[in-house]
Amino acid sequence: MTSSLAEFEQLSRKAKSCFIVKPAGAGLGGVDPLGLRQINFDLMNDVFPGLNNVARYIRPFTLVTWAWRRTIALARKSGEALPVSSHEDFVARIEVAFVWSMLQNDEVDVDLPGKQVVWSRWGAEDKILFGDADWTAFVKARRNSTALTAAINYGPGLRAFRLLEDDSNYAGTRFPGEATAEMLDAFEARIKPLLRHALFRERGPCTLTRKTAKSWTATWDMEDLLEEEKRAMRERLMGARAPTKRRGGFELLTRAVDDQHEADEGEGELRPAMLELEDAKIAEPALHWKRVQMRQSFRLGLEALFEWIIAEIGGGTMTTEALAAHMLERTPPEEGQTARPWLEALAATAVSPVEAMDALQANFPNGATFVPTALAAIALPMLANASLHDRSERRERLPIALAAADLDRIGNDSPRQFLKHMIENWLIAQHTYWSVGRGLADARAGAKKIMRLRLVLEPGGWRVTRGRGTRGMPRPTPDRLRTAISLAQQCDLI
Amino acid sequence: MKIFSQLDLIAAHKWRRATFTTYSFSASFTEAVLVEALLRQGVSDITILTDPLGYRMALKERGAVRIGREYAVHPVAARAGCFHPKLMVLEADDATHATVGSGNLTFGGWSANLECLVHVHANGMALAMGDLGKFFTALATAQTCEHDARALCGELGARLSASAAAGRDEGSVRVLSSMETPIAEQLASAAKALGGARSLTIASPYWDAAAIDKLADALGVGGVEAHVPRTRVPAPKDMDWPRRSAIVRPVELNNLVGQDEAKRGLHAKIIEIGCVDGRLIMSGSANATSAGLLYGGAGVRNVELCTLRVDRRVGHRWKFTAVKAPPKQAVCLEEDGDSATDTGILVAAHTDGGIYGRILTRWRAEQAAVTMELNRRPIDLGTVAIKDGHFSIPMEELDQQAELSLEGRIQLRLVSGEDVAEGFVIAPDFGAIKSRAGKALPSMLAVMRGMQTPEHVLALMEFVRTNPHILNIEPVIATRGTGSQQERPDPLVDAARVGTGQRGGGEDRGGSGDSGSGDAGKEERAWRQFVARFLRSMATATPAAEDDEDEADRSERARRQRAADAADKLSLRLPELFQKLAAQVDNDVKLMNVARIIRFICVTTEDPATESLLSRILRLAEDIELGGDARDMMAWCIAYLAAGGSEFDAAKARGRMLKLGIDPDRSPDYQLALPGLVDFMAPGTDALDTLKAIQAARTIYDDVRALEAALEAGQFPGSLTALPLHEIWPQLLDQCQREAGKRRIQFVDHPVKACRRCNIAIPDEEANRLRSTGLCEARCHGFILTRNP
Repeated sequence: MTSSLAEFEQLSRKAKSCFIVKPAGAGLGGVDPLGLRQINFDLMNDVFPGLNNVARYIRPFTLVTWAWRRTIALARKSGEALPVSSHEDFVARIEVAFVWSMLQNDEVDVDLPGKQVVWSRWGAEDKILFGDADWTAFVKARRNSTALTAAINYGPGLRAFRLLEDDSNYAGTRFPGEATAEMLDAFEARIKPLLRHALFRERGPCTLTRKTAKSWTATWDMEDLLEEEKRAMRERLMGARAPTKRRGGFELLTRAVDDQHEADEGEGELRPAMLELEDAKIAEPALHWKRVQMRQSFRLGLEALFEWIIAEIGGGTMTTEALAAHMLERTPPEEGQTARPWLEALAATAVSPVEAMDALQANFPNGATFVPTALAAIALPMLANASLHDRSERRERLPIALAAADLDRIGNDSPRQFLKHMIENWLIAQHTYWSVGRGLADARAGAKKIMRLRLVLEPGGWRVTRGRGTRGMPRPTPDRLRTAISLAQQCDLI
Repeated sequence: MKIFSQLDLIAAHKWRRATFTTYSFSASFTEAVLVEALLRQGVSDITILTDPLGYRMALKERGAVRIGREYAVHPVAARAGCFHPKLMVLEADDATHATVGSGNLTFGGWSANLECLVHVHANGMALAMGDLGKFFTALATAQTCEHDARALCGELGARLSASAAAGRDEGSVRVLSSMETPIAEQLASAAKALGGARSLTIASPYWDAAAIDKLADALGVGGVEAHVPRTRVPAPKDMDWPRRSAIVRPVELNNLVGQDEAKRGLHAKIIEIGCVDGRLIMSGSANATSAGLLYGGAGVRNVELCTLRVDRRVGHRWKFTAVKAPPKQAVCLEEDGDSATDTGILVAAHTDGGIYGRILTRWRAEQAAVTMELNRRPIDLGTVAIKDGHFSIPMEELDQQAELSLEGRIQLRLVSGEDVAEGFVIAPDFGAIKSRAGKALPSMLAVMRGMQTPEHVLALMEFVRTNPHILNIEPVIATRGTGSQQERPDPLVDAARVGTGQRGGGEDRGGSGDSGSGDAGKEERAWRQFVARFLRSMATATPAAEDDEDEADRSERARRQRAADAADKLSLRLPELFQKLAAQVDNDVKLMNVARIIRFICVTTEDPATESLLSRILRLAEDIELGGDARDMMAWCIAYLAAGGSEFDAAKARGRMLKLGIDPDRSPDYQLALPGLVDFMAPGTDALDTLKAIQAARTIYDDVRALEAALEAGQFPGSLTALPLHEIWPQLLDQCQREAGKRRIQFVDHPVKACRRCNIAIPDEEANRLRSTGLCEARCHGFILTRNP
């Protein structure tokens, strides 16, 4: 607890000696340590716009859209002017009932956001009581986190697929978009037996028993999709209601699937397969996909080296020169070799960005092979044709083109000079910039202190700010391919 | 010894100003921890005085970009040694506090090392506070130090002295500085005043035997207990322990080997002198070395600052245990306190006329090659002449660097043979900008760095609301928010209107605010330039709130919640802001700035009101004269609305363009495209495709123009597509085919309510027809056709 100034004054007046300084502490945290991730997301938007790595099933899209239609329809019927929160509450009940109902099926591992929260709250209960103060607080708390409609779950997809539209006159109110009626009517017909329950008809307190929820499981089962739902999704992924880029992305995916054996239709096989397709008809999405993977490789390579540096420094300090020397010991250049040919030789060891990333993960934390593998993952995209660069204008997030421009400038220097530049500018400066920036934003908002900064400079060199050191091999940011495959499979595109 | 948290002291009061002195300096740690803690208390005036070594460290930490903007760093070069004090001064309107200690502004100094300090304030330690005042006053005029912070030191010295004069003293603490006399002499004098020294016990990370022997000799003691730390920080070679001294006895001080303390590398410097009438405890920056203890006054080498506490209880001494002397350190540190420098340092300022700078360290050459590093990218600026260490780079040399910005970090490097000097370029005008921008400054800078959060957007909305004068500034384009926990808005929804594009009455509320004003002159120019850059950034900013889809960090949840809270407030306040801004619009510069501001808010927060606000901007445009840029911007707006509408109607969009005097067949300038709107309003749509469709569409107004041109040329247009569908086309066609009939056709720029030829009012029904369909028949003089909606 923070003391008052008067308490501090009294403490120092009474002291008979000096004080020992208490270490400055803060909660540890921080993802995306180099701040590079947003460009990766931007590029993914060129291939699979509107998708994320969470919203992988069609039924939740249908359910939420229908729930909004239902709440508006009920209000219209009763002639009520209700607050937005009342509509949100209604939708939240249906969402939670759906998730809880799905969780009653012991044979299926339900893949729905928010299931842990629902399970921890009502997993052992025989009923859910909607409408009391606890419920209202729960709805408020989950709105931006575990709700299906939250921005990290199905929210972006609902908007991007234009299944739900925002009513600009009533902030927070949503209504079904165009060409959803057929899908929603069919869904409503399917769940007609359920609609007798107060949950779907009233807004006051109501109870849903476990037995009832279990009896609903088969009716709205996520795997048992209606043809109308599939059709609506197909239209939005690859049909007339798909924007050009999304249509291109799914054309690329379906072409890759067509070229694969049935056994090789997994994410791991399709990702590289989509890189290899050469066809003028899908040239644009194929190019975008290559850019995604090049950027993924570039970012993963840099983050992996960042973690390696942290592990290498350990509990001591190490200068940039020493770090560069340690790297060079693992990737010695030929006599007199300058940075560019040295990097070109490293990049030649990686066939594709996907393979470069796979190799990187396989080699962590093997000191002898990890550094060259990481450098290859960085060099491959940097030395690739400029058309494969990310072309981002977000300079503070180190676009590949910016790194390539640096290499153009210092490519004739020694590999040691290049590595020093990379360590100080691409890794540590990037890390400092983003760690500090996010921390100061928290400070201005009066939010909790989080120590994101992991490397600082001391007179003896760079030092790790956390005793635990490295967090291990970073993972590449999921590239939405898993979601794309799942949605495409569910609506029979593949 | 008791534990003291400097961060808790910072958090204990609303300070206004903070000043630090340090030897080594980690800018990244300072920004992440100290600046962060000070910002929480509302401190915006932060100054750091550092030895050149610390300055060089900061130059190396290129990700620390707030130097010279959110806090000032001044190198202080001690001519014969180093600038070594470790001090924190916190000032508020009603209090002044300081800590004098051993920890530098580094992670080691504030977290990892075992450091000691004394907390000084005027409420019982007025003499010590006065000593600090004297220290800064001396530093302001010291010929033994080279620096550019003399005025600042003088003012701070005066304020500290004033604080001391208003305080009271209990006679137990003084501050010793090597600027006056050597620390050892001051210790000897104090010991004499306390009846004479009987014992000497020292803990220090760095030693030299000669200094220990001389100090013992000055105090008149025959032996020295020297603490052997369980964990040591790396020391310069042979300086980790005074092995050459014959009078040293290795001991372990009990109060420095507690469970927590023993794990931290000892960097504290403390001396206990047992005296006849009590004891003295000195702690601070001075190591047990010659540079730390034996030099001072005119012959000062290291600038040191320590506190001396007088404990008049007789017989109290630190407890210790005899131990073995430590082995020699395997890893040595080449620098701390006594080493020479490699790269020289310079200070520079960027003003209207260019960059003016001074090299503070030794420099021989009369000219040097200059490289400017802007946002981590080097730019060659050619050669610069140097006279007595001073140099200037005229603005012409920087012309290509129009982006030389106030928000970025700028470094200069001068090279001539073996001489190299480096330093930061600061922006003195930034002070004026800070005061004009007030609390909005961090948010403005965040936009310029592309790091804005919904909370920043909220703060900027308030800034714009209360400073509408910025609407008249043309951007440079070629061609705490949630703490109050305000409840989320929960308006009543008229279900019958949901999805219909209609709204209930009464939600729009007018706002009010003060209009801004500014003085002419340099500060005003700097402010306007800054605002212009800010508006430009606003015009292109993209959502910085990150996609959290693979978020694995629990701490990010709170950030998301804050962002969502701010977004709720934004939705509530946006209509009011728009109303207020719209009321200001009386020219196209203001119109475009309103469009930029609304775009910024909508795109960065994905506000659902985007579409309706854009429509309202277009309605505003109908009432003012539009220049070329404004027409281009409005053309983009029309395209976005067309792309985002429920039914794409290219002809309608084309009609809207014509109505605003926009040539739909001319592609608007991409620089005025208000990026991001289309991605939000019509995801996946290509705005250029939309424009092409609009260009390809034909409206009745296009046909009217074609008809007019053809008739003037004595021809009949063959490719009319819209006019022939009009209900009165047969009659019009009949007139067109007869020479006399042609005279009964009038062309007007916009719908009229009276015949242009006779001024007789057109019947309401026909006037409405003209407005809604582009042509009508006036009984007096035949047909009236309008070229524009």
